[in-house]
Amino acid sequence: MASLDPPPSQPEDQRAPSGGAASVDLAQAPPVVAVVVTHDPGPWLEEALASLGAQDYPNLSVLVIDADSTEPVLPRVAAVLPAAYVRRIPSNPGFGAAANEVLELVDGASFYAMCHDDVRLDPDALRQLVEEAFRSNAGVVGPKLVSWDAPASLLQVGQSADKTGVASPLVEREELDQEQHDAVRDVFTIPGGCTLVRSDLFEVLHGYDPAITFLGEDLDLCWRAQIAGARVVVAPAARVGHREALPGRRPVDDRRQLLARHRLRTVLTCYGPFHLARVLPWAAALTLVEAAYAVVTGHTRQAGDVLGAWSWNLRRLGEVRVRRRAVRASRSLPDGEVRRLQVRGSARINAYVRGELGGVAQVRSLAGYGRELTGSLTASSRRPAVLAWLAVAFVLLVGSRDLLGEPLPAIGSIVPLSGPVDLLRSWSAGFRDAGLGAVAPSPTGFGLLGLAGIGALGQMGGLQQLLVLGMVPLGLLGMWRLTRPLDSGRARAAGLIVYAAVPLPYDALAEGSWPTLLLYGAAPWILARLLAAGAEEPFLEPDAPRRPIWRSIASLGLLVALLGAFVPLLALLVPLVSVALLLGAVVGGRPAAALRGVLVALGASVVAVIVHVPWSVDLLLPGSTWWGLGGIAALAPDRVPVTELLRFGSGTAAPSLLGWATVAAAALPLLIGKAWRLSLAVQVWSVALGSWGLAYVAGLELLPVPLPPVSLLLVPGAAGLAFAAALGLVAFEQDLRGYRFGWRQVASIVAGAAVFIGALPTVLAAFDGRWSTPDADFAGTLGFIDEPEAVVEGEGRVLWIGHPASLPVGGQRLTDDLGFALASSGAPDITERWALPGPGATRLVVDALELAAAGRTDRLGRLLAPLGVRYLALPSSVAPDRTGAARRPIPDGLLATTGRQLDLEAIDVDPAVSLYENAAWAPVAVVLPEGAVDAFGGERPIFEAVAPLDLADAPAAVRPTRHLRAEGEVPAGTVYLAEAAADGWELRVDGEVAPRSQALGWASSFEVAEGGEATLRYRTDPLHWLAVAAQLALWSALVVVVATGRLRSRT
Amino acid sequence: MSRRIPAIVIICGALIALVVADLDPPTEERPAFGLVTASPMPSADATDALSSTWFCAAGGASEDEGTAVAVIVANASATDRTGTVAWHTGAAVPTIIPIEVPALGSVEVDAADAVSAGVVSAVVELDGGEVGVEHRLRTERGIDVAPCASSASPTWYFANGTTARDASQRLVLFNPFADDAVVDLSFSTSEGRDEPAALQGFPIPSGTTRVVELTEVVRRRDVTATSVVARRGRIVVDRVQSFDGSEERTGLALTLGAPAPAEVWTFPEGYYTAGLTERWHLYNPSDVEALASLEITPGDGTLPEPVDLTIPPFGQVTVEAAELGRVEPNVGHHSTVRSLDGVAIVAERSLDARAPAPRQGWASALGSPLTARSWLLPAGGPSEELDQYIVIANTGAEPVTVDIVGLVGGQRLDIEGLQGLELGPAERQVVRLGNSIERSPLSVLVEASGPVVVERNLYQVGPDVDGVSSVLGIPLA
Repeated sequence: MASLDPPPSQPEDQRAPSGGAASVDLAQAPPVVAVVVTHDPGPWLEEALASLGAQDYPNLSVLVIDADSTEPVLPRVAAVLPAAYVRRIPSNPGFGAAANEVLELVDGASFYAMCHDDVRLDPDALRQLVEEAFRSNAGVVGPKLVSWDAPASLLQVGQSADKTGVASPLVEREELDQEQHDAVRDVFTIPGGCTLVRSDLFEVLHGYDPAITFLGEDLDLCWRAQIAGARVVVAPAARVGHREALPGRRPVDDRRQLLARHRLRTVLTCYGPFHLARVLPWAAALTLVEAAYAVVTGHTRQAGDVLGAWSWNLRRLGEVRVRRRAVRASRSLPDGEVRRLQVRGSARINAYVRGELGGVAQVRSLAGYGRELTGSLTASSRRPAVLAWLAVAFVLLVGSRDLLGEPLPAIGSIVPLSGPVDLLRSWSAGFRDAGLGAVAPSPTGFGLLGLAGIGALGQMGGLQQLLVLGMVPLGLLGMWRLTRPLDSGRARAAGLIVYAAVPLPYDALAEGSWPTLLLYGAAPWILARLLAAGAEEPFLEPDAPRRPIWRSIASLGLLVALLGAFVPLLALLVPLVSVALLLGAVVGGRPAAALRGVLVALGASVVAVIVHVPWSVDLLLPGSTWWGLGGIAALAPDRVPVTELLRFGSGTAAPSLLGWATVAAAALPLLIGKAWRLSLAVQVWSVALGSWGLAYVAGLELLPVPLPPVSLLLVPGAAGLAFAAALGLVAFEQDLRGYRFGWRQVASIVAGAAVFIGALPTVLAAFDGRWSTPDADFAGTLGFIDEPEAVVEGEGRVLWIGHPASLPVGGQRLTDDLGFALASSGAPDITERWALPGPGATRLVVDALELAAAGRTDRLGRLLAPLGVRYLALPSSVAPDRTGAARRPIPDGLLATTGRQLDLEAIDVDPAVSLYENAAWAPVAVVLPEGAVDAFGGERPIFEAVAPLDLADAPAAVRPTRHLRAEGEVPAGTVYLAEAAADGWELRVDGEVAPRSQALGWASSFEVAEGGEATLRYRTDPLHWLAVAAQLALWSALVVVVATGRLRSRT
Repeated sequence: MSRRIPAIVIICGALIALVVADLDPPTEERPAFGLVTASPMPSADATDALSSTWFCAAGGASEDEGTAVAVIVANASATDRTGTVAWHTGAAVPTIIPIEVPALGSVEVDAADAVSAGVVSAVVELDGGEVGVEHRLRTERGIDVAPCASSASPTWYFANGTTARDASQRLVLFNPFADDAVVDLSFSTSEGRDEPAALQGFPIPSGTTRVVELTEVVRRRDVTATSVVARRGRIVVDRVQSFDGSEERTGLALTLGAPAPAEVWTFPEGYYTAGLTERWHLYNPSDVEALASLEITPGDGTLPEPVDLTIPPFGQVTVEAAELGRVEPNVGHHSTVRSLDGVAIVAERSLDARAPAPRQGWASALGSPLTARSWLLPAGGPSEELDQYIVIANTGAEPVTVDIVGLVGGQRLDIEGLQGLELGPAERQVVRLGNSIERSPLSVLVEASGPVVVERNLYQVGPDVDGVSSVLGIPLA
């Protein structure tokens, strides 16, 4: 018989009067003490106590532990259950620690029934539990928990957990109780509420873990009970109503934090070393995923909670070790045996997939799902978007794993960035050293990259990764932003997936087309601004004020200016996109809004042109060529079949047939959309048609000028179709219900499936790990060119000739589909990607090549020697042969021409590049042999003058030390400088300025009277400094205007 | 009607229009720049060329071996030309001799004056165009002269040649460039194609000349056609065919190969009689069958039916004038080999003169794939030892007038009686130069008012001297 003596601190008069218990044979029933822990109970306490008083169990005592309630509960207990003992403790240590008081207060009980103060037991509940304890020889027995208010709704019938201790329910919450779960069974955990524990077991286990205040003490107790060899059984015949009042007494964040901490503590305590080593990494990984999920969904506190659980436990490792020793002492069963009742995998992920995460209020039964299916499909939900982000991020990470953190190969326009100081020098110098040089303003891109480099603390490799690889996530964020006004998680997810699935950015990586990646990153933002400029639904809330047009222009202008710094032609492309939107709007019925978009686009382009002064002036002045407007993009015709264009194939690799799914997904809003969904769909489809049409026309060379790569032209269309796919989902949610059942529903299902099907090729492509980006470049192949022993002979140029897209340097045009460019080394950097706006002196290269091509010389090397050309490189691809990069063959005639030259020596380096060394080359700054001085200073046409001359043995005068500066020791004589003639060039020998004159009609020569230490440099015109300062001011003003505009919008 | 229908119609219409427009795409043209083959035959650069380079593969300068070579440089321009002759003997550095060629004049440079070696090749560089270069090879078996190559090539072809018992056929492969060349040689005979393993991946180091004696690597065959295809690099290939007289054939024939097959080959000279056999050798170096016709046009203006010939892939066909019966013996004629199916071929015509023919010798010349208004004949000059003929064929449909002038010390020498020669369409004219002028050496320029083809025949005259030389002139650009 249990001895329930009053605690010493409790006066005798606090003993509540006995009553309520049935008259039984005390000698036959094992004594049971019901331990009710309470703290500031609600009005339900009386009902709960009354249910204990109504138990038909004959040998029951009740101990109420008042955990420092604000109002003592004794009077309330006494009123309902006078025989109960009330123990008041001075603080609220939590349920477990409070319940452990029973170990001190009670002696002789066979079982303890640990009860919350918000449970209502059926009259036979305790008896059923005790009987089952004997029948099953169980150490811990739990009842069937049902809803307090609706006893027919199940809450818990025992519980399981996964290996990390995350609870896994065995029944659907609020499932209708039809006795379908009434079989007695072993379970991993008896959820708190009412738990019958054998008293001897409880003593062996030293009760609950006192460090587990609330939540998780049931898991810990049951786990340790099983380790000690006790069975944990649920006896559904015993029914207990549970009010689950704890949520009302503790905040959500607190409960989440406690659960995470206590769960991890239990895991750390209960597993043996072997299983702990297996489980802990998995638990850590899940924690990271959950934290990432929380961050993505904006629940940073949740992320803090799950991560904080680890630090909380790390701080208590000492306690954990003590408890582990205790568990080891009581262990009767190995972990493998204990874990048989755990669920496999992750209960948390399973719960998420089943939609059970996020609180009990959202949990529905299967039947409930069935009833609410339609509603759930049309409800705005964040979960699809989160899943889409996770999936897209995962695919991008997997697909880029070999590129991340590694130097990107120098292919196409993806070339290494110079240091920030060099970039800023190049920007401000006033002399372009591209080609054969020219007095011209430098591209603004030099300055922007230089400033970015300073911001990146000189980590130009990392900056390049950001500006290349980062464009893909930037584009996806842009699509996310573009679809925000749609106010549909599913729609945004669809837009995200479709935009991520188009092959353009991945082909651009493989082909080395940085401009395509830049536009991919910017296109959704541009589209968003153009659509928002119209200020109509859904981009403008009803009754919300219109954004001033100047602010829209400035905002878009900044974006266009940034992009235009790299590809000036985009200043034309953006207005074209706005015109396409206007045409679509005319058909779709909202022309007024789109007209405003055209104005904004035009204004933005004007702004971009203005902030690029003086560079933009140089691009637009007479004499400049169309090629200059390409910036870092290769302007070249690339004919791609329409059927591939429609799947956003850019000719790099044939797009998958599944690419048609993207088009199918985007077609849905045209079929079922209404109101603005239809209008917007027509607009963005118009953009897509424009992209396709432009790409097709460009390939046919119907235009008088070549256009940027097909991949770049297709990007606006891809953004448009991705947005159309998102509109399809909105139409599905909002418009489909207005139709009777028919083909539209079928089309919706097809379109929905198409979103995912269209993504499959990209998912498969991700396995490659680098999106087919070559893992080698010509910079490596031609590395010997820049080796010190080669450089010591003097600075020599590399003349690249090939398809414009194959050249690593920005160049000029030899024929419509053949370009050439001069580079200062075998590994050109970003400053050499921008071609000069006009041919200038570089025209001499064309003349020399045409002479050779016409068979008028077999000594091309001699003609190129005064241009400083040491090597000729004819690439038939963007990367070495072994990378498998797409081939663009060199014309046979060109190979025959170079092969016929007696002074070009072929060097075998790679099948994808024909390399020749000019046996007659001379350094860029060379001391002329006496016999050549007259020829270089005379009036004869350059090639007639130099054809008979062999400069092969002429020594270098000076060697470059930094941008536009070279030093060395020169003898008396004539120094020839193979850079475009300019007044800024100055050669000082021992401090004396050597007189400069024009040589060969384009370059400079300096008469050195006496030899000595020489410094060659270019002196920037002060007017140019003023122009640079003005440009800086313009950019600053634009940034300030945009920033203040955004600030005003927010305030 | 809602906005949906017109929108869908317009979008679908645009898509369909794009797809339909793309159904019949224009043929994609490969980018072009420069000439794949500078010239299908040796030709002089234009007068405004910055430089001219000529490559002479076969040669020798060895008293012990009885070989001698000289280059004859003729300048048809009105400007003096300066340049160099680089003699390549296999030494690390060639021996370079500066030369000056007067306007409307010529010079002859003998290798023996500068070098002594069994095998000597030459590179002649000049500072302008309108220059032609030939090389004259003398060995113990005879003497012959042939044009040098105006450009190197990765491919060279010969449609004729023999490895018969009495013959020696040597291929002289010269690599004048700074990087090594590697070539594959293959031969087509009546017994099929032969690719001797020793001649596959055959290296020709930079600046060297390799000589291949075919009788040592190819079985005895009456006709061998040859392909030389470079795996890398460019070369120049001459064939030196000679006979020991054991089969009544005598003499030496020097022939520059064809750098590329062509669809039309014209042979101004044509004649057969007792002891003089005229044959055409057609070689198809491609892997597809070729269908060609042989058109023989006699001087009397009649036009016999062409002879259609099928040439198997990598095969060669030989036809003999006497067996065809298209033209009577002792009737001069010119002939044209024309591909009928666009498959380019190589054609040679051989003249095998044995007793009782008045002059003995063996000559085999490639036809001309070009026509031109001006032809330069640097070597020659009638004398008591040398009988020179010039054969001019008008292959066009219009009559032409032809002037034959000599280039003599800076002056054009209008050769008397050879001015204003009239040639009707499809007519040929044979001129015995010795009937009008007796001067040696003499470079000759043939100028016509329309496109013609010019061939030069040289006959050694004198007791115990055999030799027939038959080569085309050098067209001026």
